[in-house]
Amino acid sequence: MMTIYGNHLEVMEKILSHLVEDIKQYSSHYEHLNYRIKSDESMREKCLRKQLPVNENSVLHGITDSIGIRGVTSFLDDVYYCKDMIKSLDYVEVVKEKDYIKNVKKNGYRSYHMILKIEGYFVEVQLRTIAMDSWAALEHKVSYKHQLKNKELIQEELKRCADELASCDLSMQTIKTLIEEDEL
Amino acid sequence: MRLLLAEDEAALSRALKTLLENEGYEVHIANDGIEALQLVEEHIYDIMILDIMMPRLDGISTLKKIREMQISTPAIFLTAKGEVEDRVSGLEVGADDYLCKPFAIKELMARLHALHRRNNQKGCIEKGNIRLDMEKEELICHNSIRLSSRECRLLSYLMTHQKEISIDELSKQLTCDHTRMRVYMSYLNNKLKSVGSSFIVERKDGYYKLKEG
Repeated sequence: MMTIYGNHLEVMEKILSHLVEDIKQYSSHYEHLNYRIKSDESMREKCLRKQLPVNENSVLHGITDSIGIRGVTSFLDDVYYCKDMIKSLDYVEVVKEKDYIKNVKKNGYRSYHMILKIEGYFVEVQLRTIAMDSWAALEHKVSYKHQLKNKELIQEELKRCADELASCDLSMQTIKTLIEEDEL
Repeated sequence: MRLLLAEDEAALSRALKTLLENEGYEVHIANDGIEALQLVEEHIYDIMILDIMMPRLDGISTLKKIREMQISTPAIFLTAKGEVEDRVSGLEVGADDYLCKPFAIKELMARLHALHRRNNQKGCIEKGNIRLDMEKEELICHNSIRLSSRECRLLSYLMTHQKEISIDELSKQLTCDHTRMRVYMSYLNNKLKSVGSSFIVERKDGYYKLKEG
């Protein structure tokens, strides 16, 4: 059965598993890794949402997260360590980077995003801490509910939670660093 | 904005009420100190204007009792000219400002605006490009973050003092030892950096100081 990716699917799966293998070398820095080729259904939906024709060209050139990896780390510094490690792979070309940790989104969202090109295919990488990941999961649940009675209050409270989680992330990273540098 | 006007001179209070209502205030009138206390117990006011000379309970005693009720609503006294004692007592008992009779309406309005402006900013401290919201325990610069209660108080001391603060003094204020203090200052430094501020907390010879990095 033909997928929306046509003949490219096999190559894409190889690229994904190769990158994941290399990332797994540094497994001590990751809490867990999620990765996938975006399903046909999700792809179709995204094409329609972005008003692109539903074809091979759109999914390979118009949309950048057909191949997606999310790395969740225990500590904040690990996000940047893993980012540098991925960028240093010789077969990886970095197309775009967005640091939503140094530039927090208005709703409180924090993560490190990268769009890579490997053998001509786009790969999207998201790196974040456990705290950021649990927040994003809740926010995703909330944004999927269309009939929210107290939308503004919910958004305000989600932002507060994001900022409190960020504070904990920094405190824990600080404690870890102080111990490692023998100051505590 | 709701305003309490405690003034026993009926003609004056009626005139003031009309003028203040024109400015958008909701005005409650008390004819003496006892009435003022009753109103303050029932309602929340944004600002209070109190005449000093009032029957049954004078303005100074009234405000003293109000402040004893832990009500910190800003208050302006209307005083007779020349009575330095009144002005001093008024301020000492907890008034924020005073105005001598006869006064220009424009001046009363200007002082009311100034009080309101100051009161709204009570919960926020600003220094350079950082803002610390004491109530929300929120640090804001390029990004925002929430701080713990202790971090918030520590940062507020650092922001409101231009010179160094001794570690001993801070330890006393926050009831924590020097080692814990160091950890909290490290937290603050990392959090200041995370919101995009160039301020750093510097430690030198038993003192801490907030410096522009």
